[in-house]
Amino acid sequence: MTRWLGFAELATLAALVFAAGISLATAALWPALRRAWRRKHPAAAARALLLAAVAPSALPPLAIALCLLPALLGADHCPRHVEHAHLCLHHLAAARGGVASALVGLGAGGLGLALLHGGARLARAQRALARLAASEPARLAPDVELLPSDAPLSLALGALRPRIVVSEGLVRALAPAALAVVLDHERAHARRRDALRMLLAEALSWPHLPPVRRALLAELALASERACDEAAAERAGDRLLVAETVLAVEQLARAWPRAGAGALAASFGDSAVPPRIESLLAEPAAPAGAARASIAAAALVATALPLVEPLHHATEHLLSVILAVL
Amino acid sequence: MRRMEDGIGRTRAAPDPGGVWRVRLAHAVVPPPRARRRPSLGALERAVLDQLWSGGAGDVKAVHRAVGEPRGISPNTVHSALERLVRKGLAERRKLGRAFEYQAGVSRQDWMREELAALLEATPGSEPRLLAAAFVDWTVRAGDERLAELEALLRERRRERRGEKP
Repeated sequence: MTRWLGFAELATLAALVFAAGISLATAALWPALRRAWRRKHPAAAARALLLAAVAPSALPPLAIALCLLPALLGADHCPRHVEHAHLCLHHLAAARGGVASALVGLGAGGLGLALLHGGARLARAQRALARLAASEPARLAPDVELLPSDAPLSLALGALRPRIVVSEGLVRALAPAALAVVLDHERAHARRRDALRMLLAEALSWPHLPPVRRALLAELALASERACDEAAAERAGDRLLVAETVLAVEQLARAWPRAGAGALAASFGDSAVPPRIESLLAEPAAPAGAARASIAAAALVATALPLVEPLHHATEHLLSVILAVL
Repeated sequence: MRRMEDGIGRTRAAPDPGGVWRVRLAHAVVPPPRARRRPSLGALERAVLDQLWSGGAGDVKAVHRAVGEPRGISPNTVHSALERLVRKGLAERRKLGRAFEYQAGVSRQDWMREELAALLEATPGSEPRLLAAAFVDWTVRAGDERLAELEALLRERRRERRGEKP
């Protein structure tokens, strides 16, 4: 048991080191990454941004699994270099107590708290959405609920099975062609599960440096909106019409008087509307095919496999250095 | 006012940090009135409330006919749902002969307005917004000048296109 604690210490330490490394690398490369992704098709950019957002949480466990791969496959190279710490299932390191154990405790406790907190927020959000749902809502289309409200509003609600909701106020205010654009945009949100993507990105991007994390999430939200605009433009066959609709709904939203005393006023400046309109007026970026993405993934795996051994070695080396300092 | 770069190399106004802080502080001390008391609502209660809104006031028998029978539930169950609504302040009850008559305690418009306000006016990252994707973000407005510029640009493009294809 205590020997497994030693392994857990090393694995947690390695995970922390990987996470810190990934978030620092993202911070250093961020300006270049953002420029590159802005040039891509928004759907491809949104995929890349989601991966970047979750990388410091999702990659460390993967990297540790890769480190353990040689041991799992039966290779045992520990006797060849006894000077290292051994992140290996054959030679479980003894627990070192003190700082390292505290780190493990902190890591596990933090993870547990984060999960509880996230679960509670999600449950509250679900309840809030359930309160908006009438038992037999009026429908504008088979997949579109009509909300009895004057607010000019359209939403895709929910993470797993998103509902599309538009208000009577919006239906009255928009021309039929513009309304069709809004509905196609929301259908694209629902099809892409954008709320779920944002949820994942928010939940798993904590190890990023706060300014980088904020920028990543904002950029992901913008890329999602642009991807849905592109989908709507493709359906309508008219990019200008989509741009005009975005502007029209923005103007309706700003003209709508906000009710209630405790309500927060909208803030100005961070809106995604100007960049959305600009990119609709520009030439469309070439869509990135799914085939290209899977080829890239396969290439990544193929290059990762020969790197397993050096990764294992480098990790153990790094751990030794850190443990010596601790 | 603080300026910051928006990624395409243009600068624009940053939100006043003092304002955000004041709002956060106000929230910490006095929760906004809506967040304080918003009774939760089960599916049956919601269906009963919908019936009171659409069908008007009625006694248990009438509500059961509309809501209970299609669902195959007893008048007793409908009655207790009505009583729960009364306790939550969402329905009112008055004596009418030997039976009670129930009517909605809140209008559908008011209910909708409060729910939407809670959904939309919440601070970014708060619970309901976790699961909502709006066509334009409700809590953030583009600056006046930028919007006027874009409007002029769009109008010009539309004119150009009409010119091409008379």
